Amino acid sequence: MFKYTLRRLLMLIPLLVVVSVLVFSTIYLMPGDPAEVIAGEGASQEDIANVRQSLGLDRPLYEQYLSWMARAVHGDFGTSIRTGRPVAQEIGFRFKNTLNLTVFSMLFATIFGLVTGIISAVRRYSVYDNISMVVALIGISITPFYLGLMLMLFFSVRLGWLPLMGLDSWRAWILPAITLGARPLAMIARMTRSSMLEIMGQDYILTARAQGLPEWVIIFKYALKNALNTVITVVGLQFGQQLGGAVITETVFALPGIGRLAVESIKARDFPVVQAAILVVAAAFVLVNLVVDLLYAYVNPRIRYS
Amino acid sequence: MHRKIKWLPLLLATILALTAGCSSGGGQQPAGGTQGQQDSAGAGGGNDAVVYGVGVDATTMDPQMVDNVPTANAVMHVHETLVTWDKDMNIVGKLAETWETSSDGKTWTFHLRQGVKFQDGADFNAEAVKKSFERILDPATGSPRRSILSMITAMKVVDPYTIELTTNEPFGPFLSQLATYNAAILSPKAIDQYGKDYGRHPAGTGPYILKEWQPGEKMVFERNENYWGEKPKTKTLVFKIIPENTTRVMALQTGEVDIISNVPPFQIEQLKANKDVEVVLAEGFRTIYLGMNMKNKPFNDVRVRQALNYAIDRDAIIQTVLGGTATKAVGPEATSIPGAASDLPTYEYNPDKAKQLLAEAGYPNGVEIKFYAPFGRYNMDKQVAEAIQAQIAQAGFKADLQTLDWSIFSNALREGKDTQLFMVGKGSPSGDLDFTSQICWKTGGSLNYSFLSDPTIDKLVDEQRRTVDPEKRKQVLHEMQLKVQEALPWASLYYEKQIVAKRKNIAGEVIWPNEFVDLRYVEKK
Repeated sequence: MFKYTLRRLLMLIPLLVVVSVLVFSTIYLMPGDPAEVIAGEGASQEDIANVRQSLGLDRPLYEQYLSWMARAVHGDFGTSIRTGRPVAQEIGFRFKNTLNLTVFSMLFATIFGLVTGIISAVRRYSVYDNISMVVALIGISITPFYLGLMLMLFFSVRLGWLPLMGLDSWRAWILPAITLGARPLAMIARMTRSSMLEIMGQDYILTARAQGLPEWVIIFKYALKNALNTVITVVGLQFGQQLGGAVITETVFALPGIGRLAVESIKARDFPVVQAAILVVAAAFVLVNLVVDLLYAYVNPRIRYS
Repeated sequence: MHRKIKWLPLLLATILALTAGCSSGGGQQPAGGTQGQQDSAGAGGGNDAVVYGVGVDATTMDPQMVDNVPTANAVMHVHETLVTWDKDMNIVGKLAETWETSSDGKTWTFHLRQGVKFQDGADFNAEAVKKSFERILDPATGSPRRSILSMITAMKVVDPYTIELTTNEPFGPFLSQLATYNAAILSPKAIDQYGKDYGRHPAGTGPYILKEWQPGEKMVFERNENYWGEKPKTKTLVFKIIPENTTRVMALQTGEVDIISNVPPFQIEQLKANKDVEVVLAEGFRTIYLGMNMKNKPFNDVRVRQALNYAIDRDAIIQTVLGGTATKAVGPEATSIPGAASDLPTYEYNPDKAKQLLAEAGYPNGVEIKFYAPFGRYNMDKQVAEAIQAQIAQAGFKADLQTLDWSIFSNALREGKDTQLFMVGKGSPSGDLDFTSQICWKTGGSLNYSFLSDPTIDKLVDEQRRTVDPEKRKQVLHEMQLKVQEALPWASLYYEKQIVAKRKNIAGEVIWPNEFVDLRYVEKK
């Protein structure tokens, strides 16, 4: 297990190199000249050339990549073209916010998703089951943009219960967490329900029932534990996606997160920040996957990594 | 098996992250100019804090590196220039009290205000001005706006409070250039101490000091208790960054922010319905126009350019799409800019005449054109472009409209290989006609997307620069505008108004036509 973990961690390195090459070349293929964007409206050709030279953008691409790599391995991701701040500093604060948002939204989604899914499975075809599955379908379909604005309109503007935005109190995280968590919640609920139902029909559950075990023991000890495998996969995948996909939620709630930073930086052709942001998200994504794999092994003794 | 699949999501995530950025056109762009702030919990709290909700964060607090309106707004609460504008847009003294020009028009002597200190305690004097200007002129500084002062060839400190600036030739718009935010004066001590990092440790002579800056979240300014002039009424000023328009409007309604700018026209009615909120419309320097590439067919023919001008119903666009939040253009320059001509020949809506001109130019059955417009850069830009597409179709212009991300859009315009028609806006940071004439109309100008190249116009553009006498210069500028209107590189549409909304208990804000939202003397009652 330890060796497996170590090997997976080491494999991160070539993977991130490949990602960095891809990202590096892709963003340079995008139309739009960063020097021009930075120089801004009304800059003269001379001003633009000045900017290009001072940023080293006039050097060949491979040279730019190699010097970037050389510094990156020392933890120096350069300075932001747009703001002149060190990229690491720029990213750190933003990543923390996105991580917070993701953790809160996934906690919310996992807890409520599991509960909803279990109840639905146990009370199959009941009114509760039907309603919650329709709501789950809406949860999967609704865009975070619309959901976020509606939540704000209702809970902040109309009722005045929760702050509209900001990082100043934990209450400000509630609406963004619900907005971002709605889709994974719906997916977790549906997955939990279907895998619980599948397991509940298996022979060993029938045997357990025949032995006269209390229903809650059957549900929680036998059925749920086995259904968790599927649920963990969904949670893990969703967690990774949320890290990179929280842009809309961050924008609507004015949260300075890494997704928003990446989008702003792409628009400004602020390449050093885009590269680092994507690398950070990619690394986090792989790490989350690793954790998911380890959890598999933990909950399911049939899976063992050697 | 699942082990193989694991790499797929990573790849997908990367692609998603990239495409999310490319396709999200709906956001805000720098230079759109929005600012805002928030208070209460965030900073200082209480009645002595005013919060301004802005769409875009500043990129730097270094005036010499500023290239967009949101950044200029933040910078100008901390810094000051030698001269500035009064409410009628006349140049008046600020850090310079008086000045005179030599008889050859090349040397300007400025007498500086005494007893002024920078926020870090350094003295303001002629040496400080010299050091500031030397910094922006040094190519190593990498200022994107070095050209704003590049006509200066010599600087001489006459005495501690007198400085002489010499230009390479007589330079008419010099004072307007000096009033522009890029020419603000920086503390010499801070320049020495922080160098390139000045943008994070600004020290100007202005009424507010930057206290805290959480990128993407907020900027907090505190009153400068040692300010030489009238002290601000509000102790703490917060610029709160709220990218989404709808959220900004809601934040104003809930009172989480006190004032917001760049309100979308369609939200005005909703805001007016709130009894605690007031909507303020202010004149702006920004012209929104349709540019025509004069190098490419069909717009290389002036009759086609005239036809297009006749084909647009400007009033209808202003009334319907923009809800009345713009002033109909009567020429390429917003008439609120001093010296802008309002008596140029105009083109009233006349689709028949447009058709006739188009037929004369050899397109009796109409003409197919490419039409580029940005998305999310100006108020309702996409909707305006769509309305124009429908209007000009009546006159025979079959436009293939493409709305593009700003950086792709501006790149296409600059290259100009296959551009034909495009919609774009042009503000004026210096409030001087020199700005537009140099970059939009002169041959090879950096925003001359129409590729206008006319020796007479070039000559007039140079001549107005060399003319220091304001009255004479006005005449040259007028002739220049007349020639431009004859050449007709643009179909000028309207002058954008700035839409600001605030809580009713807020007073003292000034919205300058160059899009500076001035909160230096704002107060909460």
